[in-house]
Amino acid sequence: MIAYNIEWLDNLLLHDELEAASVENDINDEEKRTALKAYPVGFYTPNFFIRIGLAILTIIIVAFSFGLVSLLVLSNANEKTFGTISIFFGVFCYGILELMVQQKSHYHSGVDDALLCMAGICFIGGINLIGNISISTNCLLIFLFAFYLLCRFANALMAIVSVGAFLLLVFFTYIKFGYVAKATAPFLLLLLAAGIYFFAKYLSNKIACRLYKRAFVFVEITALLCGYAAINYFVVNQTANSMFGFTIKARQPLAFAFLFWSLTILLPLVYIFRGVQKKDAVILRVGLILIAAIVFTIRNYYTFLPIEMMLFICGAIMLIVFFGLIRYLEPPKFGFTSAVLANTNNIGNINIEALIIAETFSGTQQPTSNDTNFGGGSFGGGGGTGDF
Amino acid sequence: MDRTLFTKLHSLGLISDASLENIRMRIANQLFSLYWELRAILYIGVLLLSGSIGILIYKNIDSIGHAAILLFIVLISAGCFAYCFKKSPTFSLQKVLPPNSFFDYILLLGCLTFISFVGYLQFQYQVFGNRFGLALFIPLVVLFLTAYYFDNLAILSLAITNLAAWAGIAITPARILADNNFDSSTIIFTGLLLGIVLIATGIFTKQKKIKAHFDFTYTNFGTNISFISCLTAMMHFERSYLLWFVLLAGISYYFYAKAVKEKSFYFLLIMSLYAYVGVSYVIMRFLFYTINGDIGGLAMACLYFIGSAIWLILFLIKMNKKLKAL
Repeated sequence: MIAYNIEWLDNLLLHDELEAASVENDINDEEKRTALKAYPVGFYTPNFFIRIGLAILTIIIVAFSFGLVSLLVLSNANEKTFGTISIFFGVFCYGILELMVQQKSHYHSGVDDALLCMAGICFIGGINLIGNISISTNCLLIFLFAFYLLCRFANALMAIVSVGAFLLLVFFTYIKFGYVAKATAPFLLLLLAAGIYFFAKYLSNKIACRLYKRAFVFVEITALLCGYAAINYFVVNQTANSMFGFTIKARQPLAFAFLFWSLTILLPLVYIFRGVQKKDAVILRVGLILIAAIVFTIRNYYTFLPIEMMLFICGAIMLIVFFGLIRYLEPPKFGFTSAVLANTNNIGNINIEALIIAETFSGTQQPTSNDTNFGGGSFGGGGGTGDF
Repeated sequence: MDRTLFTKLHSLGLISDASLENIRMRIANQLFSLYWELRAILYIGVLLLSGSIGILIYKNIDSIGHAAILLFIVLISAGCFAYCFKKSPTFSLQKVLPPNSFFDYILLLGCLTFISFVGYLQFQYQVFGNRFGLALFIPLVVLFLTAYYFDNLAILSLAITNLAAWAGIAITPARILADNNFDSSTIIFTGLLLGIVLIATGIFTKQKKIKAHFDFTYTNFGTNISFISCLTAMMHFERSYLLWFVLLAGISYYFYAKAVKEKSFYFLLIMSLYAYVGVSYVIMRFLFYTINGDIGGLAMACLYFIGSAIWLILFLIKMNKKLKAL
């Protein structure tokens, strides 16, 4: 099913394990070298930065080829022409992708990532240009195409798109059934998302699916986020107002309002609890991020404190939590530690954390200088984003 | 970590008994690290606190009184720096690790509050009068000293950003600021000079081994500023753009040689992309001003982009192989 060379993919998994063991000095260099040589990997996978460059250039090539072909038919062009050209380009991109993967053994080389996305976009875009398709048919097409590409290439982006398209497909089909359906849609979606999450977790432990592990992580993340979005009070309220034509004012409670509020607050806590219980980083981090969603949702409807008070209290709470946890975990407890395990801060010698800090905080200076200064407040951190 | 995998390797004789034992122990005692979650919480906490204090001060500025606020900010800043001085390891020209996990953030808080203090002083009391350059210069010096003494890359980035701001202000005479008659060619030359100075500092830092690990930050900033200045110059100066193109080519070649020497894929990519933009600009100008933009010209433009992108892809692939083999 998977397009890449399976033996090499297995060997790649082995290489990662060997690297992890070697970093911790569990095996010495010579063992690592002999083991690496015994299980060769013949993929073309360039350095991360080259990968970015190749992806950008591939997109440029496809875009300008499209432009060239469009120029040829510019005289009698209407939407249908562009649609046909798009579909043709989508299929063409897919063909080149298969060629690159089979013949030139590209794997995560930027070229295959870019071609994959372009194929999807051109194909779906073309179909939309040609005919007037309803939104659920669109979702169905997107889901089928993305799912096929996911199975064939184990690509993370396709995983996200598949899950999203599937849930949207169910949503748009289900709400056609009437008033009761519209009221219960959030719960159905939550159940479905939970089902997808547990199914992905179950499958990722199976030997047969070992090559899709990374894609499964993204399936889990998307399922968790979509599940939360389905029952979040703000989302449900807005959807009800805008899509179903209910005339519910913002401050009036919906049907099941209490249920939605309690789910909005409880679900991230459930995620965090399960993450701590099962020591699963994915669900734990999603839960932590969704705490911010809780705050924003509550803030949208009830403002009981002025904003600076809120920020101050939240900041103080976070610092207290931080110091408390650091002290609590000093001798590691329950299998948790506050120390760093592997150094993932550097990609190619660039200290990512320093870049993020510099990027966020460089806007807080110089109230004296206004826009005549040399890009003082708007100069980006480590990258070329300065504007004059 | 997969135990069956390593058992298989062991049975094939590829790893020794001792190594297998190491791995078994590690899998049995594996800990779940909350390090990054904790750092994220700390970072967001500092962000929220500093933001809230800023808004609080801004809203209540009439009732609290400027002197009190200034005192408060100075106390925080002084407190942070005192803590850092007490806890810091001794100064050395090599890389120094922070003594505990939140040392960096206390330092950051101290520096940010100091910058707010100076800015506030200038804004409220006009302490430096019209000499805006001086107002920027003092935080600049403090930031650089802090970055070097405490060996902190984030503060260094802040310092370099401040340097850029100062260069922009200092080079522009106050008269032009007052008239708001700002000629962007001054900015371009300033940018170029600043970029070259930063790159030179990076080289100097590495050669003299004064905090040699700072060289990447300097070179990174310098590269981006120089390239952007060059490209802007090319687009701004209508008549002499070819001259700037030659300069761009020179800088690109320098970074190409540097990337090859240091096996740095990052600089290779940056240089390729900027050079590509420059070359494309020159060719596009040529096409549009001589062929007069009819459909043939557009087709030629498309063909150029397709061809050049393919060429650049092949170049990057070749360079990737070459740098890996070195």
